[in-house]
Amino acid sequence: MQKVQTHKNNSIYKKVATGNNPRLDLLPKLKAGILYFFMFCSLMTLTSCSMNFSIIEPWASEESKSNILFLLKGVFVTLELSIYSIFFAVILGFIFAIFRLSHNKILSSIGSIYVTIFRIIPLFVLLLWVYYALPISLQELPESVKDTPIMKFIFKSLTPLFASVLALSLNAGSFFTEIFRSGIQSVAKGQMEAGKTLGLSKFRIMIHIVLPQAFKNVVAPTISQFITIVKDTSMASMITLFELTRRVSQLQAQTFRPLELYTFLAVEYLVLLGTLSYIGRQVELSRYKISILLSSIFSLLILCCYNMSLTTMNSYAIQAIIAIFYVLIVMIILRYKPKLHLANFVYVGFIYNIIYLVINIIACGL
Amino acid sequence: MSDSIIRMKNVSKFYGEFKALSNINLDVKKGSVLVICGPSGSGKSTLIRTINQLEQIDDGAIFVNDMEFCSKGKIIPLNGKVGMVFQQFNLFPHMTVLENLTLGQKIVLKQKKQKAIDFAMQTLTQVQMEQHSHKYPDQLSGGQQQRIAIARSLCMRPEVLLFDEPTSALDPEMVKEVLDVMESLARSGTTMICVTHEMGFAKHVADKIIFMDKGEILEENTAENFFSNPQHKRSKEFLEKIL
Ligand SMILES: Nc1ncnc2c1ncn2[C@@H]1O[C@H](COP(=O)(O)OP(=O)(O)OP(=O)(O)O)[C@@H](O)[C@H]1O
Ligand SMILES: [Mg+2]
Repeated sequence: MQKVQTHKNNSIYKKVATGNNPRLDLLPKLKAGILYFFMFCSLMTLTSCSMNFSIIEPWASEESKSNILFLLKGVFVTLELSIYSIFFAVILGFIFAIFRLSHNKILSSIGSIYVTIFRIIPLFVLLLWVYYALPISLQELPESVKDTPIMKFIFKSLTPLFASVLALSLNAGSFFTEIFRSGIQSVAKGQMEAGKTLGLSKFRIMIHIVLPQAFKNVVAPTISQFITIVKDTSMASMITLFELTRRVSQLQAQTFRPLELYTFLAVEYLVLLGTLSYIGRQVELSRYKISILLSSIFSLLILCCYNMSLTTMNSYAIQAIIAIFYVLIVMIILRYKPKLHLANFVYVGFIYNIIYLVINIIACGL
Repeated sequence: MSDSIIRMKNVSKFYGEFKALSNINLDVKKGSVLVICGPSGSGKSTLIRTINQLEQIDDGAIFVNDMEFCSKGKIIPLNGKVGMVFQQFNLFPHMTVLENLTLGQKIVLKQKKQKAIDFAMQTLTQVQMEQHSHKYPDQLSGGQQQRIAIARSLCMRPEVLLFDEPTSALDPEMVKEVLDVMESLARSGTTMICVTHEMGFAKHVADKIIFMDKGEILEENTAENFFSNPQHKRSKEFLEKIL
């Protein structure tokens, strides 16, 4: 029995190892490409025979052009909301996972209370509460508290976007907590003991030994959670955030073309999430390394700054400068830490940035 | 100044109500090889795990180089002074052999990168694994992994090396290569404490053998006397069973 187990493990490792071989790597990429192509073609033929997309074809008329722009801006908002939510949810999840694993009774119970509450409250209810109930409950606070700069900032920023990000990341954060906790716990106890015997501190053991191995175990469930978050952003339409779903619904109400518009909506999510799961698969295939995690976090961070600058400064020159700045920083990091392979940055950061930039240019410009 | 490296004084250890170690006294001389044997569940692993602080003790004290490192409620970090080789190797699977060997040197001993690599290569030569330095652990056989694990402990310049059944998880044909490395280490004067069922190795290499049962040391003897003329009747029975 024991023997069979080890053999199985070995074969898994082999599979991971062949992921490095460029020639063997090409085949799944090709397959994925062909699959996507067929999926897209069949959808297009299926829909075009009985549908008339002229209301959102940019070349059809001035009105249809403004329609499609209106929708594409929704893609932009959906992406923005997803990225913020993913970013904060991952941070929340990580912090509370550490809390839950801590030997400190208070910290670990804070962790489990968080998970219990936010995993149970339906996201939709949470959204409604954060947007409609939270401001009222904040109004009840004493004047002295309301006058502090932090509270003033919170009052000012209680927009639909802020409320959505808050609700989504609190909700997804509870799932990430469980994902990260089980990932960390699945690392064999002997690994920690080996680290301790070498004289490493708890912190060092975590950073150098446990987290990199936990990373391998959490990639797949984390990617599914990312996908769930992006899907769940559509609920934000209910609290008046003008993201993709809400825009499509609104246009539908004006034009009465549910078949074409909702098909467009479905395809849009298909493309977005198809890209995301493709990136996820690439990360999974590459040999599990902390470098991927680091570069993803870094990329997301830069991306957040980048987004903020996009929403405030709408000048292409500044955007271009920021893009160049990003490339420069990546180059500098690679110069000193060559082990954070360029490929990782390309997978995680660059693809997103480019998608972002293209959509932004389409949405704002044309 | 005495020449003892590890000294245990009246050490006891409980798992709840269960007494895993009772009143252990032990003295390991510099450069000597101590083999611990005994039936399953007798507390051999527990004993050596208390030495490198993987288990806390409930009574008594443990001295390393005549300095008290461990007593009830008091633990001074060993910083790798006491190396350990595990039954399950416990190499870090996400690092190459060389990274496994340099991690502790760089972080704990604060060695420069190049110096750490040089020393790692030196220990790899010692265990005859120098041509595998860039492989990952899962690309190596069990015997090779265990030799890497030995090299990893050596990289911390330990005062003493602990072995907990280092060959029990290995296929029979790989046992010898690991035992050969251990033997050559012993010959070169490394202080070692081994839990092992390899009686041939014990006979050849050990300076002293202790026999444990139910958390107690029943017999402490030289290797020669232990096998030819065991003192305690439990050790006689034990030897009859396994030889
Ligand atoms: N974490 C633990 N909690 C409770 N009891 C334990 C624990 N670890 C070990 N024990 C008990 O302590 C006793 C000694 O265990 P130990 O692992 O030291 O035995 P051993 O001599 O190494 O045996 P083996 O030859 O099977 O490895 C056993 O009876 C075991 O059940
Ligand atoms: Mg044992």
